[in-house]
Amino acid sequence: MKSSKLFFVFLIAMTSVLLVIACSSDSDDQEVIKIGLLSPITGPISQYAPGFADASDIAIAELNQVYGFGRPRGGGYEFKLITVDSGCDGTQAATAAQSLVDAGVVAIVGAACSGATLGAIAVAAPAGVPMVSYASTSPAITTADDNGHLFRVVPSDAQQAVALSVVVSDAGVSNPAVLYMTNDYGAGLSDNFELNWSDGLCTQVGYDPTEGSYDASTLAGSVVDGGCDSVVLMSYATDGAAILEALLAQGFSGSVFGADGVADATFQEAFSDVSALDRLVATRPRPGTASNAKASFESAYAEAGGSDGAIYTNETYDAIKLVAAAVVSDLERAKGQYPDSDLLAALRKIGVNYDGASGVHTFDSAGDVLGTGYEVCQFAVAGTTVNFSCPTIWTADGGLSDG
Amino acid sequence: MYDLWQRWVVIPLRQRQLLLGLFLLFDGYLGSIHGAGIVAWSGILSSDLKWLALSAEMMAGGLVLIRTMLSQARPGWKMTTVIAAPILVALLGLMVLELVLSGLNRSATMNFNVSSISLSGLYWAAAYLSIAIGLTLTYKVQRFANFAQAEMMLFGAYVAIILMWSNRFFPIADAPKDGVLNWELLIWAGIFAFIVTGLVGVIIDRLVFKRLRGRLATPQVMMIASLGVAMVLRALLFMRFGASTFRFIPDRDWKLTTSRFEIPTERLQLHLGDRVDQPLIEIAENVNPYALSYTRVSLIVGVFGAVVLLLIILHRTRLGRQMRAVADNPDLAASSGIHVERVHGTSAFLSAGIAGLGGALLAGILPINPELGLSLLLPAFAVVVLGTIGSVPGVIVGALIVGFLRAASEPVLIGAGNALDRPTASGFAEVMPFVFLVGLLLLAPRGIGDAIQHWNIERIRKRRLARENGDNSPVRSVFKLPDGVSNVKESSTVYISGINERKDAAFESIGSSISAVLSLPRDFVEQLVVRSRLVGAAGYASVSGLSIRPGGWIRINRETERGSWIAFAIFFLILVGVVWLLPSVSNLTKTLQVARIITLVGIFGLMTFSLNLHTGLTGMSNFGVIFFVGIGAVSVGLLAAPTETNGYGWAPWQATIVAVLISAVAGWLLAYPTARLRVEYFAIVTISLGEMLRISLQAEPLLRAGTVTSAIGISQYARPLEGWWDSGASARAGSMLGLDGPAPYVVLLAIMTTVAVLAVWYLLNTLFASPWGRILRSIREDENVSQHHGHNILTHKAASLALGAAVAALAGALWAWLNTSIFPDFMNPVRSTFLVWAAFIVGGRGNNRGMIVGAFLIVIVEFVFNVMVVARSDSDLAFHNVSSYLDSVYSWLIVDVGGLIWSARSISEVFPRDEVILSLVHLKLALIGLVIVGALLLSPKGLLPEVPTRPKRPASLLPASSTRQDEGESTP
Repeated sequence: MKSSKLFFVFLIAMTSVLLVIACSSDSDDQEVIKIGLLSPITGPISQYAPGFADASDIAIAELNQVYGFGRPRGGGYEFKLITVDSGCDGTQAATAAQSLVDAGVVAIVGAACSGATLGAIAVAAPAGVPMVSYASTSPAITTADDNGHLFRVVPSDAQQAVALSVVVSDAGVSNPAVLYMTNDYGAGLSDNFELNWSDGLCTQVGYDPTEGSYDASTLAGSVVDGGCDSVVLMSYATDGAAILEALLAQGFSGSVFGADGVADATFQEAFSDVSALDRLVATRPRPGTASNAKASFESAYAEAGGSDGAIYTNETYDAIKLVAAAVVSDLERAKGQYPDSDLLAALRKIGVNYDGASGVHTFDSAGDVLGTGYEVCQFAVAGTTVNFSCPTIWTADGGLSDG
Repeated sequence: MYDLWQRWVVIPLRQRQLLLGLFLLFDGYLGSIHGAGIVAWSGILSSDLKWLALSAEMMAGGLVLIRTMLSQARPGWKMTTVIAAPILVALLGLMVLELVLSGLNRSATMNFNVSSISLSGLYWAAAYLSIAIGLTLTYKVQRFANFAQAEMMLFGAYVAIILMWSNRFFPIADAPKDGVLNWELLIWAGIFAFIVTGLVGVIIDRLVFKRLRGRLATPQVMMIASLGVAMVLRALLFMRFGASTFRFIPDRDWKLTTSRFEIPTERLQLHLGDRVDQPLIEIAENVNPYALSYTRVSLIVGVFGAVVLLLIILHRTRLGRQMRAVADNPDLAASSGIHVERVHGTSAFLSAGIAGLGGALLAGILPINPELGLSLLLPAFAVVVLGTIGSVPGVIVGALIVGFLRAASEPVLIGAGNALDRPTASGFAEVMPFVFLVGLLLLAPRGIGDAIQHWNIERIRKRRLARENGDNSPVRSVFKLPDGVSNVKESSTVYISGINERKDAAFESIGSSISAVLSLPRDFVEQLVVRSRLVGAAGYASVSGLSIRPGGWIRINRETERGSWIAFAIFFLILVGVVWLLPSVSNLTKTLQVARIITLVGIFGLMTFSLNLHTGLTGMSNFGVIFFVGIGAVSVGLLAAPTETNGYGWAPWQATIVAVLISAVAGWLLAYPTARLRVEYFAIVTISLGEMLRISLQAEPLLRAGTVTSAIGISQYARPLEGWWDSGASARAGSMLGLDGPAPYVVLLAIMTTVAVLAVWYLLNTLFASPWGRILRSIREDENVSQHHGHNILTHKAASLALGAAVAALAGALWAWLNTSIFPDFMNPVRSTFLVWAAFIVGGRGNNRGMIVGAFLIVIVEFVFNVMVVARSDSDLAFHNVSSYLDSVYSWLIVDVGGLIWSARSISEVFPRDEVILSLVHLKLALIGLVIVGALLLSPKGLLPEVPTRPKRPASLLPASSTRQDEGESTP
């Protein structure tokens, strides 16, 4: 008897808390711009969520400094980021997107997982809220039924696969093994690499990058036992490091190539023995030549103590700043007619040769970005010091050249 | 034709099976090598589908043959058959592969590196065992599946990491590499992880499970409560340690390239398929030695050492005897003076402690994140089931088998995958434990521990026989069994001697305890009463109701038809009120929100209906709700996707009908091999099927559609009435709802879902009240009695499974339309099956009204807590102050209180900017977990318990009906 009553009280208490929240949410300030962030805080890639949070905090802090109250240029906007959990899952992301829409965000940045992005756009597009994904690489994003509301700042895998295949064949190897993650990033990259690779592949092995689901030594063994002369690794940092260490442990001496999942100086932090990193060559999108957006973001990220081994942080930062720039330009253009403004057009206008931390972004008609080529970076280890440099670039027209 | 059938039917069962198996094998052989046979002639299937169908056909034929062969074996050979079964199945698999590859003119090379496979196998075995041993111990003594075991392992890992960060030990962890291994930190971490995690296990046992035991909760309730505990624990770990990964480094030297054993190895190369001049098997030359790192050795030695210690405790000490006594019969143990609760506490300590130790050692190998446990939990369940639930030696053997299988299957999958254009095939290594388990359960339905036990019994019996020198005819006669008795029955007949009975009771009681507790006389269990004023005043009454005298309340007995309806109405209206109160900015967004909630409640409602039919009514613990939902969603998506993007271009309605039919057929077929399995085995088979489908979505190219490049996922499929809706209906609906523009599609979806739910609800309620519903209930209460009454259990179970599967597939179709795309993560059991189970248990099993309330609660909780998360970022909202207050409390807890336990470093590593912030998303997870645990503690039978029904009989029919029997039911 007592128990049921308690539960009843619990339900009522929950309702009344909600009532308080609901009644107090009427005082909206015009100058406050709310941007939603869908982040995979729980679920299979939760370990990357802190990096996204750190990058977006930096972006918001910079925005408030530039456009904040009392600044000569802006006229005073206050940006607020509302972060919700996408759970890397379409249903949960859509529910989270609904909560963001209910809170009155002008745009949503996210989500990371392609399934989550497609689930969320089904809510955001009817509500007229544009979405800019920072990490969804699936080609399904291009063709999504989004009424023009879905954009992304990550380039398609197809182009990077071309660059990677040129780099690998340029290194003079003929018999590479491809180790890749069975998520949309890894699988997409690997499929396109295979399409562009003229010779035979030694072996091709997919694995689930969730910790506890793969065994790096078995993966390394499949390369060594297959007699492959090189490895192309399509991985994130943590699993990539584990595989490289296992390759070294099993006496593999061939060349190793990687993609933008590992092409960063911070990759060495995922290692317990950096000598495994020696001679790794990896491609990543080429940053803009005119600005130092990349360098300044990365130093701010390091200064803020951003999460190690993070991925797509530059893209997250770019997505938020791009959205904010579009919102501000839209507000400036149509002051006073805020609800009837055309944010989509503003996004398209800002998204032309946008010089960001992750490269130069230009939205095409489907909301995808075309990059400006890739840089080819290499790691060189002497003792315990790691030298990271990107001397070569690759472009769709010019092929490989010195940068 | 009929003649032929008659002749077929009179052939004895064994011979029929033999003929069927041989026919399938031969037909498959013809199909793959000579392009003839049923599959080729039918011409329906092409390329990939063709060889897939052929290999499925050959596998099925081979399995039927093996099963027939094994079931013919004499009972004394039980052990041999169990050992032979996996080997035969592996050989069969290789043979099928050889035939398929030859038919396709391709060849595959598989590299079996002997040391690599055996040592990786040991590593996997140790990792799985650290969770599985606790699971099996909880199962043995406390009799429920503890889902929180994986979180216990993580807890141990974080204890080790906290210790590493402590002022005393950090110098060791951070010391430069000097080539000298330091053991101190590793040993202390192991000891601390064991003790601290063990104590946490005891505390949780006292707080949650002890109370549930006191209320005579069913194992299912305990299991769902453990699910809630797991959510809370995971959320706490997230809040304290964040989502970033951390590693436990006992000393940097442990990770040096020299810190490993070089194990010499041999490499076997197996060439299958179209071999030109290669032998079948060759031994490769110049093989690098296999490197086994010290950290892996420490995991293997630590976990296996702890398990051996546990075995010694169980079998050589007084405590162990007490534990086994409690496991056998708690009442008897209590009456012979054993302190049962203390034994429960000890078992909770040991099972959590070993998991913690394993976690601490695993943290030295893998980067740890609170999400890690889940990927090891499900295989650990497979290990437990494989080794026969509750058997400690069995679980060790099971872990070794699963570990080696996992390691050995990888080369096969890689080799075959490359030959068959499926490089992703190695992703299936993850589900190989499940595939193997399902296969083995079909061949030897009682697991390995059972075989070990049999073997032991046989040994003891033989020894006794030899000693007595008598003829012992009664025992001997047992071996001669009449023809036609099934395998299961044979094995149960052997249980005769005194030793058997005691051990048998231990194992059987676990299985039967579920039905036993369910069937407790209703008046024995306390009748739960909802007291409230009428609906309108409900809120006021319950808040201030504590001081109001009972006389002012209306008593509602929720276990009567009328009371149940009233309670349902009250709960439903409260939840509707919550939906009404959810904030939103405009009319359009509110419409979107409400339509989305209606659709989600409908989808989850249909899923709980399906679960209620399977589990609540028929008594089969179905953990594969998402399997049937997945079949529905994937079929709808694939069939309705355009042909130019790898789909089939069907109309949505056709696709839905076919999806529902496919799922129903799958449910029906599933019944035949599994309906005789014990409750827990059925649960693990269904959960395995869901995982297999999930991994297939990741790894199988045929299950991809929506893009020209066949990327992972299914999208771009047509949705029903979309064209009609967009061409005017949406505008009309929009103006009706008072929107500026047309109404979004989700409104139409909400209407369709409501219609579907009401139709299915009506249908199920009619069926529940029909004689068939009563038969299903009788199967749930006591299968044997029901069978004695002349009901064909198998057919009824199959029908129940098929119907529930069809309902689940309908939910899947609706889900696919809501999400507009299907990605593998949607099948994650944490977000589907487990939530549905929570809704089912909280709502009240056996009661469809409860299902709706449970589903509504599960859906709405997510929305409500999201409001809280959103409010945090917004200083305009009143709640913002609450959240900053929460932050300061949390900071006080972590820094000032927790600071007494852990070092400042452990805080700064996690919160690098020196501000301790409470992550509300994770608080949300914890609160959802608390809602589940709280609801179960307060009301273990659910919010709306099952209403005992007694069909009304017209007085005139009374005398006649007593002799009437249900038609068409007979035991074969």
